[in-house]
Amino acid sequence: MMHDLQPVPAVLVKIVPMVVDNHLFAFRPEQPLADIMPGQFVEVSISGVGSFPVSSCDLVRDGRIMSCIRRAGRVTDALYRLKEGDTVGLRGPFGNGFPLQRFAGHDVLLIAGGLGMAPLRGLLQALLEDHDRQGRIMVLYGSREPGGLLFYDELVGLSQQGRISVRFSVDFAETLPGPHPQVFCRIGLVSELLEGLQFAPRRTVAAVCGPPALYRCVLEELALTGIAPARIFVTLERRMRCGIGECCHCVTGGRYICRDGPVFSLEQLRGMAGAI
Amino acid sequence: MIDALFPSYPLPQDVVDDLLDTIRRDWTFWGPCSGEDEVWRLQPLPEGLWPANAVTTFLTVKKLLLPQRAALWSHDQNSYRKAGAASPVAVIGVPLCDLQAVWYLDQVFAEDEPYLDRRKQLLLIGMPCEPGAECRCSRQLMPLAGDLFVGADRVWALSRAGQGLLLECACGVAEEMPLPWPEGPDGQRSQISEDLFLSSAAASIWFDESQRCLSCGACSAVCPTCYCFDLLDSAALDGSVVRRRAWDNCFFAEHGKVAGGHDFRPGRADRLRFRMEHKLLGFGDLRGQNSCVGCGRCRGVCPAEIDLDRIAEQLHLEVGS
Amino acid sequence: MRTTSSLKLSWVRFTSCSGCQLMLLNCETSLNELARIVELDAFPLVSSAGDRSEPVDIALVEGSLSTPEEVERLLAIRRHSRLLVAVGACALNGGINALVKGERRSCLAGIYGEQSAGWDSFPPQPVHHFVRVDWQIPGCPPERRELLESLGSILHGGWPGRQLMPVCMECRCNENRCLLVEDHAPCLGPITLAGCNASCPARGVPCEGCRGVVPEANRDELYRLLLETGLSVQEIQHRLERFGGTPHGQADR
Repeated sequence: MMHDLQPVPAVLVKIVPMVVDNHLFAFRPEQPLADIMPGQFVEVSISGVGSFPVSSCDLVRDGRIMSCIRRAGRVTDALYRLKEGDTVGLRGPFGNGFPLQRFAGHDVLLIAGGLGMAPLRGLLQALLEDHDRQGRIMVLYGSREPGGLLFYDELVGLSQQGRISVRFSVDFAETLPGPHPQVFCRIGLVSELLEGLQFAPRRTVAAVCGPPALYRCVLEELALTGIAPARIFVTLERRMRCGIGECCHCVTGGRYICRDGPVFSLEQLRGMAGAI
Repeated sequence: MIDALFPSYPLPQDVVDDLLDTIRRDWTFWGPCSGEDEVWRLQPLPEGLWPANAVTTFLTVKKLLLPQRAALWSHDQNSYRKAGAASPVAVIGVPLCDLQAVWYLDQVFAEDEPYLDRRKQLLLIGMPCEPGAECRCSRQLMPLAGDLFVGADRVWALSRAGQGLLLECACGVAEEMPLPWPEGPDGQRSQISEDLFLSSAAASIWFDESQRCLSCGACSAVCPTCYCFDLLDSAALDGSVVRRRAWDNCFFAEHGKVAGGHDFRPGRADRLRFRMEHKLLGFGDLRGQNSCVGCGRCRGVCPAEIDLDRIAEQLHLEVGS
Repeated sequence: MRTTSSLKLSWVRFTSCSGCQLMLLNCETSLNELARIVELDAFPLVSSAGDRSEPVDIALVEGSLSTPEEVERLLAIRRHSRLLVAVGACALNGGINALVKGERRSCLAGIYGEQSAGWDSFPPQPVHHFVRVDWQIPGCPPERRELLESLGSILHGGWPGRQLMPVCMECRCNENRCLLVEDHAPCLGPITLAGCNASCPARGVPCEGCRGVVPEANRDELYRLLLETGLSVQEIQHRLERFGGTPHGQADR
């Protein structure tokens, strides 16, 4: 596939503040991009400022791409100054995305830390939309504090409807969310949410997304529960500038994370030095 | 493939003139020129001044394929416009190692339109060279790119375009012949296996060399197969914007850093090792292909005299069984 | 997104040579366009009107500070300015002014005589020691291109991307003869922030380091190389200290 590194103009159609400095942005490209699979990403361009990569946190609906974007630097700062109706540029989608066929017919365990909920929320939407799907969906989600939990109401709502089960953890809190019979939230690491979780490892596929520290503590622990490393999927965050496997910033273990990833199985990651 | 034979033709002087005239019709000639400062650079050649030999110029043809700061597109009034096209250039006097490097870049940028647009405008003409003290080239390393190779009394067609030019100039009968690689240091370099490299993370050579490395980036700037780039915008006061592709460098502190501050290659030793991994083992589809063509430029420009070959040898001593 | 209303701009000068202002005024071919998008509030080299204490969009601050009155003025400017940009070596790290050494009172007396006895003064300080700085434009003097591109990016609601890399890299990209390696000249290119297009080494003048230090600077190794050029320890220290302020850093995303 040929690449010209040229964005498509896209209208910023909606801005939904969620958590402080973590807003939802909906973009409608003037010419539709190729379909974006959960786990893939796009490059958002603010002309005159720069560009950054971001995953989508929903399926593409009515040609709208939805992303949860953290205000984390120079370019996202500029994005946060835009208003609905303003125009940005989009390139992509890039990367492999989650292998949805591998999730079919399995129970699914989603483990997220912080902003890592965003790409997993895209995966969750895809799983929920598959009406033929069988199997449970369990979400374990950790954040620094209760106010930082993204999609909190939605996750609790889905849990009340019995469509998913969800457990939260926070690093610190004066008061925990709830009291609510459906809300399980405790202070501690997200990996500790695995304690006492009833699931059948041989029937389960896991997807994990979070900061590097989360991977170091949770991935091998997951494998110890008996889930095959080939069924534990991880999406890696790296500095992605080009998205097409050229510019070298994202390279880890000799592979271009932007093109060969960002989703890898734990089995693959074990052979990639420096990945975790 | 690597020990390839190419159609070779006899090259009397009148044919040389004919050939050059034919090329001049469609291309502007560039070649190695040396200034008062004794630096050899690839530049537009003054008419009638042809190099006698290939020269290891300060920068390679990389500067024409991936210019240091090249506009990709401009943006105005909500529309993106592709940057203007490059003009045709025939580069004469390119050493064989640099032609290998172009082959390597061709693989990396095989799907990159701005690169290919420039690549199509280039006619690459190799010439024989005198190997210098820093030269470690090897014909076995990888195939080479290029269109023509002009020797003392023969000319080789390296591509279809080159073949076409030679047929146009009626260069006699072709014979399949190997290229006249310089005699010399073939096979003197240490090859590093992936296993050996991966088990070297804690080797003291990385620490020792990184103590001296200035992180100035000179080695990868002059490297014919280094291609890290960044994308940068510049906005004019009238609101128009140009996005450029600019050379980046894996020695710089920001190279592996993501938003939010996590740095995947935080130390100078990590970055030095990253560059060596790229050179010795390659990334992506080219994994396993040593991309150091042995031109010796990096050794020549490093203020701290860091030497890729010496690092490879040290790795063997320190980590190899 | 381009903003349409004009930007109210104030140039604020503390202790400096006014060279930074001059660089902007030297952008002759861009002055028309600049006048179209900018409404000047204050600009010492252009107009004798002082700070009007009115809100401005951008304050460009030049020079270092050495008196409590200057600090008060800077604080007031910060309060009135949506964006504050420190311009030039003096504003970024004290610059040449900060080279003054020794006990403050005797320094003042040595230069200004007895009248300085009652003056309240401290060693020259960069702007970021007192207020939040939104953007930095380094150099002595700063580059015209960077001044214009910074204003250009403000029109799009942000700051321009730039590479934090040493002058060496730009110098090699331009195929200059290496003054350090070839001529053993005391060039600070390996540790100095690029962006000047290596304009001094390109003219055979060793880099003086006026743009400050890159985050990745290996001062120890450069020190060793400078010793090899024949400079004395003291000369090297002076050279490294001249502009040796804080490293630059900006998150990219």
